[in-house]
Amino acid sequence: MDCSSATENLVECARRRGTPGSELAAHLRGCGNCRERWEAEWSLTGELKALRQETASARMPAAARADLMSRFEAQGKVTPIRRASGMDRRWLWPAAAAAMLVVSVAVFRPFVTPAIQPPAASEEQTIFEADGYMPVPYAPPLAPGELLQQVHADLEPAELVSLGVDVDPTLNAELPADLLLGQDGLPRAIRLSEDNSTGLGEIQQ
Amino acid sequence: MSAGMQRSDEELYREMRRGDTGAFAELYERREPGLYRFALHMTGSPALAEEIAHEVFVQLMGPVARFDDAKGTVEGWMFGVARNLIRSARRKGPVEEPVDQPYVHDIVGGLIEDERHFALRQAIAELPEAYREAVVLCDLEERNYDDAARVMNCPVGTVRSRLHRARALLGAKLKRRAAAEVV
Repeated sequence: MDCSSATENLVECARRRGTPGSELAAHLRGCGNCRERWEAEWSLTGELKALRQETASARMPAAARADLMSRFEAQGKVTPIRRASGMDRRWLWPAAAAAMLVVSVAVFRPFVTPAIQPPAASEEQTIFEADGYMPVPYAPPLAPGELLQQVHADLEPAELVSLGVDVDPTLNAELPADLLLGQDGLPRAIRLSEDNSTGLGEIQQ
Repeated sequence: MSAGMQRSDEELYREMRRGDTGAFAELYERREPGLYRFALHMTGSPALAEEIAHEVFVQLMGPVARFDDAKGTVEGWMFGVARNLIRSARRKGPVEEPVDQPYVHDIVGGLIEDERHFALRQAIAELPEAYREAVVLCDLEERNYDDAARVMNCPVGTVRSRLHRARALLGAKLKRRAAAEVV
């Protein structure tokens, strides 16, 4: 056994507070450096164990727990804004299909009717833009009194492009986005969010 | 519920998202100690450790559920958030408590700080972050290499080599300190 593999073995053996096997023991008998390392590792394991025991019962103060529990209870059961998981994202396909239908109608309509006036900038578009949202192109207008639901989802670049967002469609990553859906489930506006799932990004709501 | 029927973190998380306070409390009881100790050993500061662990739970219960069980475990996600918060705090400035203020007193109920532990804690605090993580997870939290690799987001072999290197550095630091005390 050479010193390199002896070191590998002795560290693991000392961490377990085990007895060196015959090969390692023979090496330790004949190698002063490794023996010294073995003694240092053995001692270090003991010191780390003592430190571990010293902090074993360390907990956050009870007040911190109470604060979190009251925050949780105050938040209530409804979590209207949620990340769409793989299963939850199923709604996107019917929505995309419906959007395609709308696009198709818009494209072929000139052959049926003589002219289509471009939609004027509506009040809702102004509201969208004020919140950093971009209206989804060709989305049907909202009915009077129709409510919007905000949904957060990670979307493929191609999905974002289909919703009118200018991103590189070849990008190999999902990007977080906030969507405003009408009561018919169709997206009306979108914005890229800064949610990065690392705990450091700002959440836009 | 019997011990054999213990719900997984992920089940508790799903219940919690549906508003089950008991599930949140159970998840807290299960994960808070390790998470807090991890932050404590990594930062050397009880106040900062508390802030970090608290923030992890705040994010866990937040209106935007960021955890995705297709991408990993709840525990891995929580430690990932904690690691990012620790890094972020370090970027803002020094996070270690002043060295003459032992950090254990106010959390472990007045345990007496001995010099040997103090030296070891200081040596751990001086390790590069990646090495410190390996020591904290494997030797202080007694995680196996697989668990530590998941938390550290690196291969098992990397955890092992970082730990061995970290222990060699710790041994050298403690030896130097002991020699200086003799002189």
